[in-house]
Amino acid sequence: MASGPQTSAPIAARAEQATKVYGLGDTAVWALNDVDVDIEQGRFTAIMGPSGSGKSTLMHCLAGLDTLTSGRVLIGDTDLSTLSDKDLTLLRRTRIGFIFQSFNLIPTLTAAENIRLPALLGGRDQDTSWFDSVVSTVGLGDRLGHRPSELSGGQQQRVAVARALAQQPEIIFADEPTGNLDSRASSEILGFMRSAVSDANQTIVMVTHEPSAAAYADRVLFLADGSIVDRMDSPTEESVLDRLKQFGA
Amino acid sequence: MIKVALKNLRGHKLRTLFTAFAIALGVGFMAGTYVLTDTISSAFDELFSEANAGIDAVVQGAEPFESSAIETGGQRPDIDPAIADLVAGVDGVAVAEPGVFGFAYLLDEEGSPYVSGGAPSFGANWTGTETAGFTIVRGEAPEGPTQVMIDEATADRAGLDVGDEATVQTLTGTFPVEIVSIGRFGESGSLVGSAFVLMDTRSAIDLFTPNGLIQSVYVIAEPGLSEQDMVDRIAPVLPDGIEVVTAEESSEESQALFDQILGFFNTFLTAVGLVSLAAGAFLIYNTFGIIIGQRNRELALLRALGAGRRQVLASVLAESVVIGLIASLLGLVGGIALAFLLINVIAAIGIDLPSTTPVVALRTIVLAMAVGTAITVLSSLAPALRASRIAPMAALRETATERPSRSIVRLVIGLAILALGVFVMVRSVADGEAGWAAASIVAIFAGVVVLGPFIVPTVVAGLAAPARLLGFAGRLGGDNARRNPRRSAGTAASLMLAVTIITFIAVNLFSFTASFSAATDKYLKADLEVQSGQVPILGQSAVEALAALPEVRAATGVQRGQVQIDGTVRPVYAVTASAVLDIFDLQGVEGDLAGMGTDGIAIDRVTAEEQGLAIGDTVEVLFPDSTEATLTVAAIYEDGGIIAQNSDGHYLIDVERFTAHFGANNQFMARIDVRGVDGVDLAQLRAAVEAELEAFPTATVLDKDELRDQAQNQVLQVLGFLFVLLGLALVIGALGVTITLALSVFERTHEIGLLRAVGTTRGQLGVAVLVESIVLTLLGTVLGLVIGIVGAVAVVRSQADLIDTLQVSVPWGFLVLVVVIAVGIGVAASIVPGWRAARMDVLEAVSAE
Ligand SMILES: Nc1ncnc2c1ncn2[C@@H]1O[C@H](COP(=O)(O)OP(=O)(O)O)[C@@H](O)[C@H]1O
Ligand SMILES: [Mg+2]
Repeated sequence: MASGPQTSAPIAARAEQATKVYGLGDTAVWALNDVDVDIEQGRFTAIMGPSGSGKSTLMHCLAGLDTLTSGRVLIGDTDLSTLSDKDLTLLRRTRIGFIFQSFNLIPTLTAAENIRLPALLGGRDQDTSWFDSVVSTVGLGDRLGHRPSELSGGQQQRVAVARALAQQPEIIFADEPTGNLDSRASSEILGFMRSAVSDANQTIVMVTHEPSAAAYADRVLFLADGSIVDRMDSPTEESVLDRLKQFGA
Repeated sequence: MIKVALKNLRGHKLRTLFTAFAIALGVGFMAGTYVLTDTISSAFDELFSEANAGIDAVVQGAEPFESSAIETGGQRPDIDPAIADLVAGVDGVAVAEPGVFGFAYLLDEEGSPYVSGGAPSFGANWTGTETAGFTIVRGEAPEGPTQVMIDEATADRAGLDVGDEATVQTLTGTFPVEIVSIGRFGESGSLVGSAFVLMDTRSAIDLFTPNGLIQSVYVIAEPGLSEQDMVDRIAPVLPDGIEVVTAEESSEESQALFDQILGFFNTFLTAVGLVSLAAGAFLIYNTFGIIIGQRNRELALLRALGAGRRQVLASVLAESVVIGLIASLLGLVGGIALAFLLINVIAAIGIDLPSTTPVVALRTIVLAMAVGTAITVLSSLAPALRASRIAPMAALRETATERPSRSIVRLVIGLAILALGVFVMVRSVADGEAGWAAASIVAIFAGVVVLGPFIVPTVVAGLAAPARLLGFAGRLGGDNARRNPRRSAGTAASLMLAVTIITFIAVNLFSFTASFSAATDKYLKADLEVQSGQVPILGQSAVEALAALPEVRAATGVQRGQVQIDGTVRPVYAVTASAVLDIFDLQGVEGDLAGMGTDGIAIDRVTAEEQGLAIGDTVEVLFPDSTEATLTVAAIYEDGGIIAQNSDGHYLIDVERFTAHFGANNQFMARIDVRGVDGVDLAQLRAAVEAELEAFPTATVLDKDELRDQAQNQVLQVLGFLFVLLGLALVIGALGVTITLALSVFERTHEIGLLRAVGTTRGQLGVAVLVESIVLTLLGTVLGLVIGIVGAVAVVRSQADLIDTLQVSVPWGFLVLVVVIAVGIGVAASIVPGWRAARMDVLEAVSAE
């Protein structure tokens, strides 16, 4: 039920004149340079760009893991720059989901506990029927009692996806979630993410450098040198590759 | 490779410093002990020579056998004052003066000593010559039985001066005096804070010594004669049992006696230092283990790049040698500083040492450096060997975490040691071998250390269970304490050592105090006990005065000395034979103890059987004054523990016999036990006794309840003291927990970043580290408590045959205090690592590859 590119959907996250500068003076690096971007709700957005173009920085700032040098970030109606560390933490716990490239799981906890981690941290009860449906979607049923060291890389990422989905957060951020996986495991993970957006109206932002991964998204934002240089709706692997070649040339 | 090691040290300054600090504490304590005792010893050396400065020879009673200075304080017999005249007549003798040396205390109007706090107060004679060791600062020489000279330091401290009046307390009672002069001892002005009261020789003999004898004759030679010339000339005229030594030998003898006592002190403190070092060794072993685990990949890479096993081994060992050297040096410097501080503290409380320059002997330096470095290197040997066995392949593996060491070999060895310990313990309790029971604790401790990784998961799960009340963060902390059993076990080991020792001593002390109190209840038939306290003033005259009261049925003092019986040096106890059975229940007596008189001796059953003695047999007894007497075994009693207050009360003689053969300074009694006539009111008896003791204002009178309280209080004091000393090992344990946590936090950077990203607050991370820290400290504490209690109970129980009122008393309150302190240590140890974890940069953590 992806909305068409022309209809304006509600905004899940927004960056306004977002600028991030590392260092001072001559050695300053402008990781983000006056970026304006809206992440629409219920859509799957991919961020692409060459290495060092500021993809991770943008994602970290949107997710409240990092602060901007100037400009502001909104999650829903909340201006992140007004929040204390504690409020930011609670926001991440309740309103945002994360999937990292690796080291996604706490080794001392079982898969099930890792999935429920944000709820456990908040001392909340997990919605059991939703939990069961997420677990069955990602196909972890018989692995729930295992610890991360007993799971394959693909299974570990499935647990990470399940954790992000289980909270039904307003928005999920994924930083190269398939970067360490083979192509079969990658397409499984990307499939789960795609169906979460299509079937459950989840909002997902994913950083990737693989055109095949970007093809799962509804829209691709292209970054270069800290600025958004282009966007593409309903991408395919070929169209993304073409576009990247243009930049490369 | 050595360069790699040094780079590692520099790269982890904080960790290196912490590790070094653990060893430095132990080394510092040892070095400090040596510097302190060496300094005190050299100060006394100086004093003893100063005391004999103007003198060439000393005539004194000869000891027929060697006695233990620690137990008796020296048993040199007194001599007749007439010997001074005899010596004065020897050709070449310029001056020969009697030397009187006893105890004499200056009391204020209330009857409390002017100088208190443990320093003794001596009574001596003013001779007007250099033999006195004093010079007059102001006033006139004392003359007659009411005039005294006091030393300058005491005068200053007490605010006394020429013309003031005071009371002097001696063994025979009190008498009023007038201070007519202030004198200065030697050059330094004070004999390490002890006070002096001087009278003219005649009065000193009359008032300071109960037997009218003197302690020595000080001799000054005519010009041109050496010390040895004096000895050669005087020796031939002396009767048997009296000897002459050069002034130098006399100083050396005083010094030797003192050093014997100091040596005891030194051994005790060195043992405490060694405990700290052992705790430090555990810490080093564990820290190196963790570090090498974390460096697995780096070391494997080195191997892959062509570094040999030996090179890896050498690199790790080089690191430990450097840490060891730094730590030892730190410890040495710290120890010297500590000793210097203590010497100044001692001086501040009134015990002046003539020189406050710390004596740093070469032996101290060598020992500190060698012990510190050796312990560090030895503790890192096992981790270093492990490092050298890392396969180059490990560099290519994905994960680089420490492999849990729970091998079968470890299990078998651990169980074997533990089983051996338990076996020896059970046997020694059955056979009454306290020494073996104590030794078995070492094996049990070692067994638990080796088995640590197997024990940890279960124990930690139990300890961490309550932490769940703190929510999920508490649960995370508990899990973290359990995730690496070897690491947790190694971290807990230092604390376990300290707690085991503290618990062991506490349970023993409490048990023996309880046993002693039970014995007092059961076998002490006295109603009151008079104690001389810090001021030794009770003598046989006080016993006789008390016995003569109409309210009193019987009274006896207990004196202790050493004699030679049938060729062997033995402790004897002197009592008033006619009174002893009214005061003490010896649990059955064969023969006539009350009527044994001066020619009889009473022996306990066990000793009598050992020596094959029966009633009517005789023993040859050699007394300190060289008198040989044949005493008849008049009685054999079942158990004299109540008299001796320990288990060596084997021989009893009558006080009259004792008094005749022991010097004036051996005649003091620590206690006099008094029993009222039947039906007398306790308060009335007490009033009568206290009235009679008016001449002994410093004596205290205690009833049985008060005696019990006193014993309890003394135990608590000893425990408090031990706690302070062993606190060092506790600090090292806390340090170990901090280092482990810091390394673990560092190692879990990703995990912490992830936790923060998905919504863990800083507070929650802090709680997790806090819980982990407390669980680790409790792990060591609980294991230590268990081993300590089991061991102490075994040692106490093994003496069931010796002490029939034996009681096992576990001081639960004290043990709860230990647990509370452990939790406190856990909290303190978590502060730095917890802060680091909470403040960790989330981004850096999640993006670190
Ligand atoms: N902590 C930092 N300090 C300094 N520069 C940084 C830091 N993090 C990122 N950068 C720089 O910012 C730029 C953008 O980085 P990043 O967002 O990680 O790029 P991408 O994810 O697209 O590879 C790069 O030039 C990088 O070197
Ligand atoms: Mg990146």
